[in-house]
Parts: sequence; structure tokens; C-alpha cells
Amino acid sequence: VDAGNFKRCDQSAFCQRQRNFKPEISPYVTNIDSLRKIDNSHFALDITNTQNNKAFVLDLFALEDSTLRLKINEAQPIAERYEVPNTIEDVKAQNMIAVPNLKNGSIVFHLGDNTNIQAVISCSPFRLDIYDEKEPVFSVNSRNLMHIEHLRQKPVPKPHEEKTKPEEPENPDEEQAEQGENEEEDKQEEQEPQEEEKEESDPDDQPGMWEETFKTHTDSKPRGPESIGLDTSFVNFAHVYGIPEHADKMALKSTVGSEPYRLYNLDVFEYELDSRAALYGSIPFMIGHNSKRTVGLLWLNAAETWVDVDSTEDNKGVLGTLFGYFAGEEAVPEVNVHWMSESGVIDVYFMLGRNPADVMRQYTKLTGTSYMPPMWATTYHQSRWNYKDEQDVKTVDAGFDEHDIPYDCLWLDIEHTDGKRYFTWDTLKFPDPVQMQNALAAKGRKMVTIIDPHIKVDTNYHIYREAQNKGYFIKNKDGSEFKGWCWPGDSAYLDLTLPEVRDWWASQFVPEVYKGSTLNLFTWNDMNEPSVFNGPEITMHKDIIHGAGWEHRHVHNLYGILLQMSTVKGQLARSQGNERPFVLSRAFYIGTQKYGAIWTGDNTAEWGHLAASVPMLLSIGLCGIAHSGADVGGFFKNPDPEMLSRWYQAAAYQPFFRAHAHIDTSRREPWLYDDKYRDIIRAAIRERYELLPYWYTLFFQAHKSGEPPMRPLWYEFPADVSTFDKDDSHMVGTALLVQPVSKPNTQVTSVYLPGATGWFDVKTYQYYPSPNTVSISTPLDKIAVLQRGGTIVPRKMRVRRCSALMTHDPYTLFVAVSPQGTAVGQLYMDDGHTFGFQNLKYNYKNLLFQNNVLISKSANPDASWDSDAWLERVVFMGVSRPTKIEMTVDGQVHPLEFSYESTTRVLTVRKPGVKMQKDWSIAIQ
Amino acid sequence: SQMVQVDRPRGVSLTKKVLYDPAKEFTCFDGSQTIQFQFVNDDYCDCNDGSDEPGTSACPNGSFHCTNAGYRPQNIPSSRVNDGICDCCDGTDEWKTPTACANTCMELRRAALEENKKKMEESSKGFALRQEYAKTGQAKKLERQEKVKELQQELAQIQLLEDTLKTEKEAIEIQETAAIDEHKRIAEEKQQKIAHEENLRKGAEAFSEMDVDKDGSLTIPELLSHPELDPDTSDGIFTEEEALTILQAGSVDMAVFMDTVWGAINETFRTNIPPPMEEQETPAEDQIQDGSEQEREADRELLEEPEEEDQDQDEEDEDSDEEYDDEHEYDEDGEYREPPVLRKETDTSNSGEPYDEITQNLVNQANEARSKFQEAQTKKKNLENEVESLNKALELDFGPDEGYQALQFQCFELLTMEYKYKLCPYDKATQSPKNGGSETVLGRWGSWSGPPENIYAKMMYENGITCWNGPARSTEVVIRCGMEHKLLSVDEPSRCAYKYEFATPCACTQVDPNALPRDEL
Repeated sequence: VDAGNFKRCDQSAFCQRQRNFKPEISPYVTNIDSLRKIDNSHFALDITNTQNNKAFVLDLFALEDSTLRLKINEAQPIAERYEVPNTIEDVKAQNMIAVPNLKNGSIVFHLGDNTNIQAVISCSPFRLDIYDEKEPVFSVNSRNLMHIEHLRQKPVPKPHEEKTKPEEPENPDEEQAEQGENEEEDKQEEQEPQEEEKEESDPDDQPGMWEETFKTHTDSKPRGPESIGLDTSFVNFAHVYGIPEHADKMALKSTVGSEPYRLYNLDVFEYELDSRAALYGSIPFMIGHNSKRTVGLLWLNAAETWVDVDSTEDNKGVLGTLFGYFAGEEAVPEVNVHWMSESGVIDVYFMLGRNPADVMRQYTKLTGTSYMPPMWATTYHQSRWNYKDEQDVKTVDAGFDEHDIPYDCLWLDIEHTDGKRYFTWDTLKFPDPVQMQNALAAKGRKMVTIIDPHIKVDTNYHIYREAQNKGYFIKNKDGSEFKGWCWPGDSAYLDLTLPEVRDWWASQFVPEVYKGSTLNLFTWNDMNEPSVFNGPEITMHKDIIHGAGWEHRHVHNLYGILLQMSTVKGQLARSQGNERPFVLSRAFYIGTQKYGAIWTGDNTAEWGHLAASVPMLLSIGLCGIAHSGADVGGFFKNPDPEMLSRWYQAAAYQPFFRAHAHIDTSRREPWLYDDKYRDIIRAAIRERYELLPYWYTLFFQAHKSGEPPMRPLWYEFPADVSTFDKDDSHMVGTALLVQPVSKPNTQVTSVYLPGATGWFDVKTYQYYPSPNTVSISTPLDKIAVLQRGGTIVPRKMRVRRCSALMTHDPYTLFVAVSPQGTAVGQLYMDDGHTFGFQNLKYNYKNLLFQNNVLISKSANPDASWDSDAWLERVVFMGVSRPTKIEMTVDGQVHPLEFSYESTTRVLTVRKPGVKMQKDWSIAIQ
Repeated sequence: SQMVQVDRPRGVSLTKKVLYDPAKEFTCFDGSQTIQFQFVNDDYCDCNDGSDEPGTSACPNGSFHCTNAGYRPQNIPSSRVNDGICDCCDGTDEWKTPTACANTCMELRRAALEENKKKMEESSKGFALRQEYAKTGQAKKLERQEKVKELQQELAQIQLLEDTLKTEKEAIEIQETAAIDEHKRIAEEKQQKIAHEENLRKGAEAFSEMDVDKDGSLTIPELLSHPELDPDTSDGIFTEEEALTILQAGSVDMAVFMDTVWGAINETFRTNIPPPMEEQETPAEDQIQDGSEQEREADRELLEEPEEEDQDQDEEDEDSDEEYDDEHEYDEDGEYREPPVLRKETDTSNSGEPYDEITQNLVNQANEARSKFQEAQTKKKNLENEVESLNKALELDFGPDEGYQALQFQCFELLTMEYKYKLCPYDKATQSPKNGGSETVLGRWGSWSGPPENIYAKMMYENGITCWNGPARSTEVVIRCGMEHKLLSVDEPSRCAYKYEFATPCACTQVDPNALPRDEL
């Protein structure tokens, strides 16, 4: 990366101003008298900045499921301040009562449905503390960093006036008398000289407030300063996670003395590792975790945002002492987080947990749960920039069959178009795209074409012409059409903030409009940060204007998700809402999970990038996005066959599994390597297909309750402190622990196995008691994958050419029995591609093994989806040799054949044969 | 088609039928297990090698045999059994839904027979051509080998000649050098004498000029009228004391002056008499001009001829490099002109003294010896080059029967939408824009690069022009049998790694009729 292309905090004027704001006492105060009950769950208070008498309104909302919302806006801004639309779901409120305490000038808010939770507002200075069972959890503005730059008129230079105007004492009555913009203005002018006296520099005239230049680009900032800052402390926490996307560790690092984490969607060429610099996506959601509690905090903002994380040892005990709660205990750790956004209002959601799954549920209630991916999208995808023509597509497709490697979807990058005009085809190379898609679809396979938001400026191009006629492009300050440089050359950018533009975009996806497309063709939205090659920081100028009058600065981080959302809408429309869409996006934001998958962009074929895929995807998963992946093999450069093999082994256990490569790289189809490597890659892909029933169940659970399929160890073992920093291994669901190999020639991997229920190597069945750190043999054809004692994992062992051909195939259940003799699991089944599951067309089985009986029972007896799939085999790990095994179905009992391996204590039950959708039990005697 | 129904488990070939005996228990092919026969094809995988489920999809590593009556029998992976896709032309892989697949074996058979007939014709025609190419190639090889032998004999002779001429040349050169040295010495002596006399003349002139009163003695005041003689010019004053140090006496006569004074001042002395303008300046200038022009002329003459020769030679070298054209070089062989010879007389031209007759004679003789020697050297070099290029051609691998020799010195083109692609076997692969523009080398001849069992299946051209931000271009040429040499297709599967498909009779083999589906059932 050329770091010089992107800003540091000290090159971003508002970040610099916010970071320099360090008063000894917060100037913001409120008073009990202003407390107003808006409704049963909503109270309001007035807040004043005592330095300039600016008035603000605080709103406190109690939401269902242990969630609180704090909002602070200017009382009478001279113009509306931006509030993020389309992001927060309709959530239920919960009752809250307020109890003022006049004695100490505070107000205690009790959440009605959950008496454990209290919020306490201290009035002077303003501070908000949130308690769970009287234990402080969050503290807001306890570091005095709350700072809202009020909107103001641009000062006109008045050299004489300033000098001649006598100093006037502040008149408290004046404020009440003043109403409307003119008076505001007057007051401001009067205050200016005053403030000049108070401070060395005029706070209204700091560098970069009204104009800012970075490299060759000047941002005109017509609205002037409007940034906001707030400190939120996680009390008694040493670990915080989230705020993707950064190429860094999962556990957030202290930024004291270095750059803050930056959230500003950017197209970063050849990004570097171990960096807090911004990447393609931004989710201002943070999770705090300690051994007894997990909490979440959402900073709802779409503008450029910087986040300082202070978790230095010095902090230990500072707030703990303040609260007095922890008196006598050891110094209590805390993480102080400083949020700084260029514009908008303070709008913060606090989720009180208490366990990781609770936080994910609370967060996805607010922001939406994951879309339900079609089955094929959860499999293996084959992509490169570019499969060149129809013959190439045919040859690659045939190569997979020849080498008996399954894959479900083949991708076409930008070169498939007519001169980077999306929704068109290079008709020389793709003369019959419908036939091409049908040929793949005949085997159950799909295709994806890339469709980016930059539109080639060309009046002969129907998309451009139509959008231009309708005035759908983003405008410059002067109202002319904004043009930027991207793949097609001169490009215009759709103004996706407007609903009519999104609807129009969606209408482009029906096959009658998108010529050459079929219902088996899906979409990849790339470059939607948006990428503008000749723009500041390779993106759009902040002062250009979107339809509703907002500047790009206000909405920047939303642009990508709006494109993905509109594309999803288009795919839904073309099947009259019957077929599930699939849209991959590079840019992402709060709620992206509702629309589709994302990937970590243009990574590099280096071991470090393979390793980094785990923490990056874990962070993304903790922020609600269930379906995410990294380009297998690395986008830039050529991986050696060992690295590529290891990459496939790792990515087979990551949610979105796609090989992709830059146009300058050598071809990488698995059969182009020596048979040894081809076989390893094939085995990794087949492992993914075997586990599809498990993955699909996890995606359903993500869809239902927001749990990420790929999750950190601490998510499953929240009390085990030694897992809190672990991001070289991860869980897939509750059952599988995966530790990829990310170094060459790694024959042995040291793996930490948490919990007390033991682990079974999924390949060798070897049992490892836990908690323990063990050495696991990892020759080139194997990585450490272990199934946790006490879990049940469903697989389909018959590997087909693609997932569609597996629909009727039988299941195998792997039951890893805990030392207590129990195991649990779930299995979700549906048709894999329609929305029938929303109308109870599915089977969701609870699987339970206890007292030597394995029981499968429908979690929802009302739901049913008729399927031929049957139970082929059950493998019990960690059991004694039985004498007899009997199955009970529909009241009928019949014996089953079995075999037993005493060295590994593995019992294989042969061919129960029961239809998987039925309720049944198998008893071991 | 229903006539023969052999009773054997589904998916088992006739040859393996014997391994599946319903009367006995079944033992996995790998011997790992023995199971009840009813477990064979019961849609559950018991054997690790998949042998118990030849007719189902139960084993991940099993295979299913389709008879495909009328067409080629086929083994497909078990994973393709009952997956909803018709893989066998007899449709037997989708036995769960027997109506799903139509039997297409007869159709395929007809098509295959037709295709095979065509292929057969092509192959046999191609093979006939190949044999002709092979004959030519073998003859060419022999011819080249003979030529090398011949040239090597010639080389041995010319080596002897060269040695003789060298000895002769060196002998005469010793005499030549001695004569020229003597000539130089005499000339130098003469020069010195002339200079000495000139000095004396100038001294006398100076004395008489300075002896203003013409009394035959030069005095200090007289000397002072020549300020340029001031030994210390820094003070700007020429004092009597200073003048005295020059004369070393109050006055000196002509003889003393010449003996003791003139030698010290002849460099600094300047005459006060203005020279007559026309007479002195013009001739001097002319002389310089004439001299330099003559010199230049001489240089030109000396340089021009050799330059031309150099060029000729370069061109020929290039030609021979590029085309290995032995005939061409042979024709030109005798025509090489004399290489440049530095003529000795020009060496001494500055002294202006022509050689005496004897010396000139020796120089002439030496020149002739040198020229003869160089002529022999050149001839040897040319022969060596010729042998080298012949050997290079002989080292090339023209295939087991020398047939590919036919492709040498030929180029084959293919036009695509954008580019003209060229393959010049044993030389290079190139690409140029269709509508003109410079040629990009996609690779230079490297080697045959097919798999070990048939290395002649592919050619590799390497080290082409390096891609921007990428590797050097390379081209793999896949060779197949065709009735004529033809570049069939060009592809660039990875950036800068090209793939040509090239047909040639040289790759045709005799057709094995057994490879075709038999007519009998």
C-alpha cells in the first residue's frame, strides 16, 4: 500500500480536533428539572455546553432484551444534523422508570422488564453509567471527552469590529430571548471575542474547520465543523473486539500513542497487515468481554469515524475507585473508547448481554439477522479475474468434473462485459451467455457476474443514458454530474441514497432487461466503497451532493450497503420473491448481513494474509455478518502449492469459500498442480461439502438469532481467560475447533483445547482430554480440526459434483460423547433455494444423546419439508462396545447392525435408514 | 439390445463378475473385510476401497461400470450414480429413475464411427506425409553431417595455410620494423640538425636586432628595450640589475651572446620588427588547412572500405544466424573482400620523409603478407561459423524420424479478432496487432516439453518480451496430427503464458483400428 494515499488522524482535521479535546472537567451539564417523560420507555433531558451555552437534547430509550439507547442532538441546530436511515430495525421498547435523586444531582433509570439493569445520569458534569445487577458496566463521558461541534454560520472576517467591540459579560437571559437563525448568528458573533479571551485559540476558528486539503484535493466543507466525540468506558473489561474492517488482530489493541482505528470505507491497494487503517467496510460495533459478562455497544454513524482504544494498564482501577463498587478488590481493568465522527448526532446503543450469544441476539435484533443464503452459496466458489470466454468457462467447468472436485459456482470478473459496461457482455467472448449458464445449470451449478456502481459515461450505454435522463447520478457542488475515474474510464455514480434510484437499479436485474442473464446468474458488487481512482483517498469527494441535499461526507459508509441492498431487491423481483438472492459485496456496514456475503477484498498470496484471514473474519462475524470469506490463495501474487493447499484447508472452514486471483497471476485451478497438491485441495473442498448440513444449520441459526457460524473460542468458552486473545484458531459453530496452518513446513501444530468435555480429531478420532494444549500432527494433508465432546455434527458423506445433486443424499451423524455421556446438536433442512422455509417448509431437528439413547426430535413440529434424505450412519466417538442397538421409529423397534473400533472407542451404526425428517431414537445397550 | 442380459450386480463389468458370487460371502478387493453378500449394493459402504457398492453412490471412492452396449463401455465415479444427471449413454447410472435418461449409445456410436472414419482418413494421409517429411529430414541431416565433415577438412587445410602465412608475415615484419626504425632514426637526426641551425639563425637575428647601435656588442640598455625578457614580470619593471643577470657582463659580443645568453632567452624573446603581413601569415594558414584536409581525406580512404566490409559481414552473420542457410553462405564464401590493413607509410607521413626504396619495398612485402594472413583468418572464421550453424541445426531435435525438419525456416500465422499470431518452429512465437504495429516476441525456441511418454506432444518457447509488472512471455505449443501444417488456435490462459494449438502431419501416427468402437456387438 502507498500509505501516503490515505489519511492519518493528524491529517484529518476533525480527528485532530477531537483528539486534542481534553478538558479537565466536561463542559456539558444537565439538570434534573429538565427531565421529561416522553413515553413509558423514553425520557428526555436538556444538556448545555457551559463553554458556549449551546443547548442539546438527550434522549434515553429502553429497548427490549437488555438494550438502551442514548441519543444527543443539538436542541436547535441551524440545519438538520444527519441521522442514519435504513439501519435500525423496528425493535420493541420496554418500560423504564426514572427516579431523580436531588441530593446528589443524579437520576436513576430502572429498566422495567429487567430489574437488573439501571442507568444513572449524573447532572454536573453530565455522565451516564450503566449497571447490571449493581455492577458498573458502561460509563459515558467519565473521561470528559464528549464534544459536539455545533453547526454555525461561516464567520466573515471583521478585523475592525473585533478590535473595537468591548468585552461584554455573558448574559444568561439572552439565550432565552433568542430564537431563530438570525439571533443565533448574532449571539455567536458576540461570543467570539469572549472566547478568544478565554482560550488562546478561537475554538470557532481552528484549522480545517471550513476547508481542508489532502494531497491535491480540497474539501470545501460548506457546513463547517460538525464533528462529534464521546468516550464510552467498558468497566471491568480488559478485552474489546469488533469495529471491522482492519487487517489486524481480533482483540483490539490500545491506540495510545499511535493511530486510532479508522472506519471509512476505502479501496486500499495491496493492504498491509497489523494496521488500524481503514479498509473496505465499517461497522462501529464493539463487544466487551470478560469471564463473566459480554456486552455490546453500537455507535450509529455513517461518516468517517476514528476510534481510540485505551486499555493501558494505567487505567486499572480508575473507574473502579470512582464507582466504589469494587472497593477492596484488585485493581479493576477498564477499556476507554473514544469515538470520533465527522458528522451526525450521538446515537449509541448499549447491549447488556450477558453472554456472547445474548449480545449477538441483541445486536441482530437491532440491525437485522443474517440473510438465509441459498445452499449453493455456502459451498465452494471458483473465480478469477478473469475467466475469459465461454470456452474457458466450459474448460474449467469440465476440469472440476474430470478431477472429481465439487464446486457450485463459477464467477466472471469485469472483463466479461462490453468495455466495463455492467449488465452487458463482451459478445465476441461471450456470444451466448444464456446457453453458457444453462449448460452449468444443467448440472445444478450457478454463475456470478460482477456489477459495480460506477457507470461508464457513454450516451450509447443504456444504463448511463437512462440514469442520466432521470438525473440519478451524484452531483458536484455546482449541480453538474460528478464524474470519477474507474475501470471503464470516466464514470458516473448512481445516487443510491434515493429510493427511486435503488428501485430503478433493482429493475435492471430481470432477464428481459439484463440481457443474457438467467435465474441461475447471481451478482457480485465490487468497488462500492465507492472506489474512485482519481478521488481523495481513492474515493468520492466529501463535498459532493446526494439527492436529498446531504453531502457525501454524511453518507459515505452507507454507499456500499445501499448498492448491495438494491441488487438484492433486483434479484428478489426477478423471481417474484420466490428465490433467495445471492449478492457478494466488498464494502459493508451495519446490517450488511441482511443482504448477503462480503469478502476481505484484495489480499495477497502470503502466509501472513492466510493467517490474517482468521482474526479478520472473526471480527466481521462478531459484528453480525455471518457469510464472509477471504480470497483463497490470495488475490495478488502467486501462492506456492504448499501455501495454496494450506489456504484451501483453512478456508474450507470459513463461511464464504471462494478462490479468486488477480489477472496478472498464473492460473490456479487445482489440477494445474502436482497430483499431491491437487489431491489435498480436492480433499479440502470435499470436506466442505461433507459438512454442508452442519454449515447450513449454522447459517439458519445465524438467520434466526444472529450467531456467527465462525466464532472465536471465547464465544463458546466465555469463562476461559486464556481464549480471550486467541485468533489463530476458531470455532465453527459450537462443535468444531479449527486451527489452520499458516506457516510453511508445519508438521506439528500446538493447539489449545478449552473446556472440560474433551475433543476428538475429526480425521483420526483420537481423543484429547481438555482443557489442555496438545501437539497435533499436521502433515501437508491435514490441519487440526477437532470435534468437541458433547456435540453432534451432521454430514453428508457422498460427495457430488455440486450441492444441488446432494439434496436426496443420506446423512451421517457424528456424535462426540462427553465424559458425562451426553451430546447435543441440531440439523436444519429445507429445499435450499426458495423462501418456503418462511412458511414452515423446513425440518429442524434437535439431536440429543443421553442415557445411551440418541433422540432426534423436531424443534418445531408444525414445520415440515418433505425430503427423501435418510440416515445412513451414526458414528459415536468415545463410547464402550455395545451388545445391541435398536432403533425406534413410529412406535416400531428394530435392531441395527454396527461395528466397533476399540482402540479409538468409535462405534459405527450401520444404515438406520430412517427418513431424516422423522422423529426417531437409537438406543445403545 | 435386450438380447444378452448377463446376471451380475449392478455396475460390475463383465471381467469383474467372477468376484461377485451370490453364493458366497463377499470379500472387499483390498481384503480388508468380508461381508454377507446381501450387503453388496445395499447402498451402504462397507469396504474402504468401495468394492462392495459397484452399483450405488454409497462409497466416495467407488466406480460404476456402464456397459453402454453399442458404444464404449465406461467407468464413472460412484458419486455420479443416481445424482439426476445422465452420464452413461445407456442411462444405467440413473437406475432409480429409469425414465430419466434416454439411451443415446447408438447415436453416439454413429457419430463416433463417422468421426473415426474422418480421423482415420486424416491420420493415414497425415502419416503418409509424415513419412515423406521424415525421408527429407533424414536426407537433410545426412547432408548436413556430410557438409560438416567436408568443411572440417577444409578447415584443417586452411589452418595449415594460416600457420604458414603467419610465419611468413612475422618474418617479414621483423625486417620491416628494423628498416622503418632506421628510417625514423635518420629522419630524426636530420630534424634535429635543422632545428639547431634555425636556432642559431634566430639568435643571430635577435643579436643584430637588439644591437641597436650596430656596434657589434650588446649592452644592458639595449637589452632593456625588450621588456618581455624581464625575468621577474611581477613588478613590471625591467631593471638594469635584472638585465645584468641575463648578460652576466656589461656587454657581450655576438659569440659570447650565442654561447651564454641566447640559450636562456630564446623562448621569451619577441622580435620588435613587425612581420610583413601577406608573406608570413597566409602561407602558414594554408599549410595547416591543407595538412588537416589531406589527413582527413586519408582517414576517409582508410576507413571507408573496411566499414563497408564490416557491414556486409554483419548482415551475413545475421542472415546465417536467423536462417541457418548454409547454401547462401557458401555462395558468398569467396567474395569476402580484404579486411582493413593499416598501411605503414601513413605512420611516417608526419615526418614528411618518404621511405627509401628498400624500406618501401619491405613495407609493401609486409603488407601483402598481412593481407594474405588475414584473408586466411577470415576464411577460417567463416568456415567455423558455418560448421557451428550446421552443428546447431544438427543438435535440434526434429523428432524420432527427423520429420519435424520440415517445419524449420517456416512460419505459420493465425488471425484473431485483434492480433496476428505467428509460430516459426525452432525459432520463435510472436504476436502483432492485426492492423499493423510492432511484433511482440511471445517466446523463443526452448525445447520439446511433452510428458515423458511423448515429449513431442508439446513445444515450449521461452523468454519472450517481459510483461509489464509480470513475467517474461512464454508460449506452449500443443502439437496434434493434421493433414497440413496449421496454427489452429491461440489462447492466453494466464497472463503472458500463451498456448498455441498446432496441427502437422509430423504428429500423425498410424491408426490403430482397435481404438474404434467395433461394429459387432
